[in-house]
Amino acid sequence: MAESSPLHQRMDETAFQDFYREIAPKLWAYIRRAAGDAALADDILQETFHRFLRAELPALERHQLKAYLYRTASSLLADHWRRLKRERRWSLESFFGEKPVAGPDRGGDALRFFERLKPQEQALLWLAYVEGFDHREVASALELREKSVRVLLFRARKKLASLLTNQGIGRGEPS
Amino acid sequence: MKQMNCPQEAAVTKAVRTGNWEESLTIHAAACAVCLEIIQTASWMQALARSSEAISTLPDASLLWWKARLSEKQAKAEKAQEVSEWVEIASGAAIASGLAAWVAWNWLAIQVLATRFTGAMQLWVTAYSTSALFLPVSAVLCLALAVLTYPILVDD
Repeated sequence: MAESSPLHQRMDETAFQDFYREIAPKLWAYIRRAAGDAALADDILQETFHRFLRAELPALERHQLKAYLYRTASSLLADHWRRLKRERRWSLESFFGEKPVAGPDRGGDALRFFERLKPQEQALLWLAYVEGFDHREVASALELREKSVRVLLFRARKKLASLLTNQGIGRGEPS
Repeated sequence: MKQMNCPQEAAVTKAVRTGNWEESLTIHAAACAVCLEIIQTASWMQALARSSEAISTLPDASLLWWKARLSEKQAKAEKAQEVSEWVEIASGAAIASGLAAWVAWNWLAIQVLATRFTGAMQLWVTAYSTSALFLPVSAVLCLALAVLTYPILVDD
């Protein structure tokens, strides 16, 4: 079995900086689009790398490390939405029927459509069509079976198509 | 049943990402419903990735690096503290059990001592009420207490 140890014991600071420079901008972009809030994206990115450095991982290749980061970020996002949902359910506003306070600026239409997808669908589409992961890599990143990825990706594509068609928008360019 | 996948899926996705289309792939994609859908979705996703605002200043890599190291050290220190707390609890328990065992072992002697001590206390109370005798009687009582406990302490 491969030996596990915290990543910062196996990767020196310079190597980490190079890795960070390569991965962080795109990872931030993914979190930003999924979260719909730049400040939240900053927090989740920091927490993702913090966990990554503290994680006891076996020796992994670069694309596997990248997959690990996306998995962690997606899981942190899902936790965030769950917590928010719970807080809203038990807030006084829900008892008095007041409208929730407006969230941060949601940006353009494209971002709104992307945010309407489930976190797993967002991750699937991003990894497959922005990062260029193949089905096996997507399966490893999201802890799914390769066969499930085919089906889920198909459904995610259909859902995005239907969201855009309902709004009378073609899929050529996001507005 | 609707076709969900196409063997050319990976090649088409790569072509959308890189912009390098082989002629055979272009001909295939034009006639394949799955590939057409992939082209549309991938193009939209690519444009989405490029479109939104410029990245705000990313957190500094060195800062993240040192934060992780610091938190690792903190976790180690907390673990060490936890161990020392357990040692402290175990030592306290050992001392208490030792004391209880010593009392049980010398129970008869302690009872005798307690009886004598009660008598001595009565004498001391009397002496205290007549203050002239208080100091000498106290001294005698202390001496008596020392003499009485000496054999027990010597035995152990």
